[in-house]
Amino acid sequence: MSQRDTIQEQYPYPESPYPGGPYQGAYQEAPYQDAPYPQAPYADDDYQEAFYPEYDEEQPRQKAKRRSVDAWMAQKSTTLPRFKRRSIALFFLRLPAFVPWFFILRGWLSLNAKDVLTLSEADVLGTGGEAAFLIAVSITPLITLTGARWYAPLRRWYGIFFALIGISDGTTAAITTSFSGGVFGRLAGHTFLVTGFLIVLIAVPILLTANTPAQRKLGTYWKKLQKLTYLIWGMVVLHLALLDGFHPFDGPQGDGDPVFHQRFYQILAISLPLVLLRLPPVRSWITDKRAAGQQWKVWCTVAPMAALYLLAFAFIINEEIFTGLQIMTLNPPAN
Amino acid sequence: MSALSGAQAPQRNITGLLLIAMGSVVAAVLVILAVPYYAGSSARIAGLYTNVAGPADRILAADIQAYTVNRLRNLAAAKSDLSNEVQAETAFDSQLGTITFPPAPDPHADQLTTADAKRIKLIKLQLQVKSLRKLRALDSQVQAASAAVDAQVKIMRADLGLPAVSGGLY
Repeated sequence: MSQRDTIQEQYPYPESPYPGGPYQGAYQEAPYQDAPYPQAPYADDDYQEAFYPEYDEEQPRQKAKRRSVDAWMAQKSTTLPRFKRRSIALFFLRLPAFVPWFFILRGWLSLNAKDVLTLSEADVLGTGGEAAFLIAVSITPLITLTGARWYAPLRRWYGIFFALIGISDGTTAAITTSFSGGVFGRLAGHTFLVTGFLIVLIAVPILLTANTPAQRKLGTYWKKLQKLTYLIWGMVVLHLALLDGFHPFDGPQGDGDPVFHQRFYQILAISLPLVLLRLPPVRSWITDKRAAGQQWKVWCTVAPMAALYLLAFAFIINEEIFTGLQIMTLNPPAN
Repeated sequence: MSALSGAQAPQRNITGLLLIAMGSVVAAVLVILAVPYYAGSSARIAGLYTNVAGPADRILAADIQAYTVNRLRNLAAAKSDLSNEVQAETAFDSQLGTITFPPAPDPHADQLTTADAKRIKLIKLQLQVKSLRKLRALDSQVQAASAAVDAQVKIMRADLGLPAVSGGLY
């Protein structure tokens, strides 16, 4: 995880945290008072130049262009003048995190009528949690690609919701699923269940420390703790590999596209660009191209990976909506 | 970039370019392969249907043939044949329900299952009779129900691009 992901930001900074570094000029150019989001409560909400050293290496024209996006989003909305554009955009971008609970609600309220939770809760909450996690880990590569940072708070938001959805998934599964062995069997009766349970357990300390006071109190340990996210990522891949294996999803039946519905393939397709875009040489190359005014080369190069990412994500969303509607209508699959 | 020496910086950038290019080539190949795969989904759905219909047809053909003979002289054997028919048709309906059809054939699949259920209900009535004469009396109703199933199968197979059924029910 990069410094940008985890560093504790505290306003006001009396001086640049990189004394003698190449960011002095930038720091003076964009002092704290001019930063777009001086009131932001969380570190993720702020992205002062000093915390993104690679971006300070850009040419002034590029920097101005990038800043214009963030600065535009920081302005008050013309239609809703009480709110900043960024706040409105983030409000709507945060809403999808509630979708898994929206779908599962009728199953919960009906106390597992027609065994909808027994048959489909993992499909809805598991897939929803997976989607939230993948969105959370997609924010940093997206910042790397675009240079815009106004959506950085979504990383924390979807990370928190991943953990909360995971906990609700584990709790519901412990009560309603049909695996033998009681609560323990339902949570850890198979290898894929063990990995799923471990994911939730590891997510708990990250969830509990996903706030600014904990960040301040833990100091440098906070960053190390947050690196458990990568362990979770590996565990999610393992969980889906054990769940589906290399066989087409749902046996010989389905909708004629079994490979697209294979959860293990989906997460591999999504993880490929996300991992690559985290590698320091790749980030450096992208930053260099942007600094040289050749952003189009970056987009052309990542386009196939973006297409693969979107394709895989489309089928995750398809799964969520398809199984979610089955629960909402109390019409579970006959598996 | 500024933190690196002049010799290191280009090397690092080439590594970055190579890494991202490799990832993109792999992604491009997968996306290109996905296009013909997706285009073949309707053929795979038709294949799923024939995989379910074929075995059911074979079982039903044998049972119907045996019933045609036994309905004239052996009540117990005729009932056994009908019971096997019910099992085969119930299994077919159940397997049909696990296939996710595209929007066009999906309602027709439901109608086929409904028509089949009516036929199964009539055959179950035949299973309750105590004489061959009463058994045969219900045959005309079963045949009418079979005609309804045939009509739905014809629509279903047309939706899936399959040829009309020959020699079987489904």
